[in-house]
Amino acid sequence: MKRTIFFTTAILLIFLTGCGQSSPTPINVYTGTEGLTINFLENNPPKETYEDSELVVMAEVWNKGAHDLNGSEDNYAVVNLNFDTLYFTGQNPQLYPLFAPSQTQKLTLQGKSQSWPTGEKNYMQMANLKVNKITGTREMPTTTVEASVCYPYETILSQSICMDGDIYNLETTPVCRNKGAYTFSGQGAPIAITKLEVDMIPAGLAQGQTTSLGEETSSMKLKPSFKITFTNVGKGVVFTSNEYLLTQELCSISNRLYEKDNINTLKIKVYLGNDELTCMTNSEVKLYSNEGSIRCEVPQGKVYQINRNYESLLTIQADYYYRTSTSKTVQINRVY
Amino acid sequence: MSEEEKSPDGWKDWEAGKGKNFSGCIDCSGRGKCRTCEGTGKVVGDVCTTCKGSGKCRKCGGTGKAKKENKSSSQTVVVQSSGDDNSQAPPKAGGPKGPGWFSRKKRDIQDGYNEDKNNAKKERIQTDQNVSRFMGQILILITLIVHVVDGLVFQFSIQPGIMATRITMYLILMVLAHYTLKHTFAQSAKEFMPWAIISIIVVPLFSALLRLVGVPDAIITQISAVIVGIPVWLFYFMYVKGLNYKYEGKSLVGWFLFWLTPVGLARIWFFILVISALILAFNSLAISAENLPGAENSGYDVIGGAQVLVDKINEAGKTFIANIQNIGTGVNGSINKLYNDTLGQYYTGQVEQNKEVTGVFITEFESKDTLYENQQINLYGLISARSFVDEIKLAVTCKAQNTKNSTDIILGTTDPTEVTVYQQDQQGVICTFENGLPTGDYKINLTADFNFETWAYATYTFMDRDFVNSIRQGGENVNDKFDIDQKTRTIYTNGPVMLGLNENLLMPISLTTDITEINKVPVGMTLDNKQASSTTKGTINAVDTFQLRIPKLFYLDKCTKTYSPPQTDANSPDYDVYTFANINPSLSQSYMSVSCNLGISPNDAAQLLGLKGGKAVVSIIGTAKYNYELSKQITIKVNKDPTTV
Repeated sequence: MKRTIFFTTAILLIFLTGCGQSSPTPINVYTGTEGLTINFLENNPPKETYEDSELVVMAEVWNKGAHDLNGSEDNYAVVNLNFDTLYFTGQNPQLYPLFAPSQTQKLTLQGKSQSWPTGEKNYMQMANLKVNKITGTREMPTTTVEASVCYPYETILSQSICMDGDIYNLETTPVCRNKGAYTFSGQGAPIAITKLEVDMIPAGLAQGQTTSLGEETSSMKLKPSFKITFTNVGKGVVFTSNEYLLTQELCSISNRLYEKDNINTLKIKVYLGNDELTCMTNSEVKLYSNEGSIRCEVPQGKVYQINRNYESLLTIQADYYYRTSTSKTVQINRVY
Repeated sequence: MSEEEKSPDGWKDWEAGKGKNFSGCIDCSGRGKCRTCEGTGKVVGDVCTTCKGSGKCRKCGGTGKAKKENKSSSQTVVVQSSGDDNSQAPPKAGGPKGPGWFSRKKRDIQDGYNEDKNNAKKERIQTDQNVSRFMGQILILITLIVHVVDGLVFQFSIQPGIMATRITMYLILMVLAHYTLKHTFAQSAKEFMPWAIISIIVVPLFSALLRLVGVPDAIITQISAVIVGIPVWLFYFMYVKGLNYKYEGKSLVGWFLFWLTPVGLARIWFFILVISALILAFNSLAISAENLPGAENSGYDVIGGAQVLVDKINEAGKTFIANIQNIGTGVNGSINKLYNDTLGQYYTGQVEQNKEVTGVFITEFESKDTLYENQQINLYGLISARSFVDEIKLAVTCKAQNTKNSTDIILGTTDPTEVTVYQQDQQGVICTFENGLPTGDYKINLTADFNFETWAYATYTFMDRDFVNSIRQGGENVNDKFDIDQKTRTIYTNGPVMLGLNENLLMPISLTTDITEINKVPVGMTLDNKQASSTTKGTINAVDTFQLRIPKLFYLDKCTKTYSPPQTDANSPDYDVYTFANINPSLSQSYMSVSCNLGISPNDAAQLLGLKGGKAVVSIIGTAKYNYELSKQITIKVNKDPTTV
């Protein structure tokens, strides 16, 4: 009897606990090393086609990163299709604005979020291409069709760091200790902050303060300094914007629309708590072999007075444009 | 005299009481042999300088016995000892030293010193031999690698861009060979050094020299392969004594391991190449070249190959003599041609791979009967074609030539005389000698003249110059980032000729959009006859049209041939056609090239790149229309009529 009561109670408990409302585990969207990806759909374009025919080019554009391209101001992606005009002719520029340069095709895609953990995906019909009649006596030429996407993006890292004024390790139970260096893999963007080095540089002792018990304490003045390393972890090219250029213009990559110093360059902002830090030089990071570093410090004259160690939030934001592409080789067969 | 008595260490022997009876030559330890070369008369393949090649001890003349010499000679001290000579006996302990004892002692110490010196010299010689051998082995190995790279990667190419790389590669090899041979121990190798150096650099230039005497490209490539693969200097170098070695052990494993050493590998290499070269040299001449008009799959025909080889050498010789005779203009032209071959203006490409063999062929030509004098002779031919030209009109003729009297030519009649073949077609032809031929052997040629055209396509990828520079300054590879081929690539259509365009321009090609600058990109085109097979010959009778098609945003400038004003291509309205004038009427022994600058204004470059997201892929097209003569030859025997007496 007792055993029956025990099992019945256990089963009831299982059911009752199952009915409880559990809160969903929040996901960290700031992970991964991709921003927007572009890929042709299978058979669009096909591997083989025939002269004097038509083919449809369709691509999947997917925002796998954490930044939203919401269409506001200049925040959209530009898609481009590149092909040899000897073999293809773009059809219907009204329908496919890629062939009408005066028009801008703004592509907006939401990034990863709590409500959309995978990010927004768009299947777009890029173009309807007419396959030209083969010029000359070639039997089956091959040519490449390339689709590229160019977009503004953002890498954000928020990291709790320890404001460690106890340089002589006098505190027996400090709240935190300066770890010195942090490494990261990706923040949901093709440009990743891969390393953060923290230096708590002493700037002297502050005047003593008297506690309620009448004891006089001393506090350390600190000037934190941060070396931040950025890495291009994607396969594309990164460049930064001129203030006066629109995304459409910038992504055309023509000498008259960009300055060469902008290539492989990021613009960054760094905040320690609410204080914006000063970064050498002009808050721009130049990447060499896909990697670049910058040092940021508190503004001139500013020091932090530390009585006891505490944690503060360091926020790093990098803004840039990114271009990535995909290509496919198409064989054109002659119609005898 | 026992071996102990012959011991060269006189002082020690003396001390041990053994040397008192030693009366031999100390220099050779009584053996009579030269101590430097151990009696062989040679050191590392060269004459021993100590004995001047005789192998005998230079002091005792090979007798091994001591002879009295001037005592002042430090190297030739001979010790005469006898047991009862008190003056030569070792001193008793604490006793007085005998007369001459100190001078003998001094001489003996000097002997010991000289002995050590000679041993050191011997060791040094041995070390030098080892170093020389090691260096020689390394050079052989590097040479083999260079030749493999030349063959597999560059395919003995004579394209100007590749030629430069090949020459550079062989120059480096030349410097290495110079260093190695200079420091080698073998005198004979040193003497051979200038020839080795010259022959190394001649290897890549040889192809250009062959072209000078009119040898076809395919033959040049094959000959280059043989020369590069079997260089005489390397062969000689391998067998310089002291640099090579043989396996003299008895272990089977050791014998196998020997073949894995550089010398072993080199010998295997030579063996394979000699066999391959012999097979290739004959077979490649005999076997029909794939996709060539007039070609047929005749299989292995060594005799035919040999015949063609003789013909080619004969033709090349005639051309060379003609060039010498025309020393005023011919040499000048030849120098220009060599200059072009070596430094540029010869453009190439790769032939398109078709689903089926494409071109015009005389697939069959034969006599089906036994032939008798003065009886009608019918020979049957089959012409087949596969092309993408709308229609090909062939004028067919045939003739007989007596093999013993080349001036004795008899024309035959063909039925039909004109053949029109469409894209894929075949047509039978009968060659008839109505009155027959006199008794004898004849070469019968079936000849077809036809119009044909060859097209070549080169793909250029353009990018903004500053953008490219910025990417490169950022330590990145533009080609990887933008998925661009390393070099331009040219594909030309199948046919009897090669039509080449720029094949090896580095990509992407940078364009500036700065209006204060100009954009000039090299573009060029070469028309050259291909190699024929052993039984089929082809020549370009006349070049009718020589054209370049370029996109309208571009223009041609500073061409080496004049051209008519560009016209819009009827089939591709985005393209302009440039037709060149002053083209060679015939290309029997030569090739024809045109070189130009491909220009685009900065404004047009900005438009081109801006429209295409900073990267523009553009095709340049070359066209040659010509009249080609295809000839197939067979040999027949006309017998005496058995019914006549």
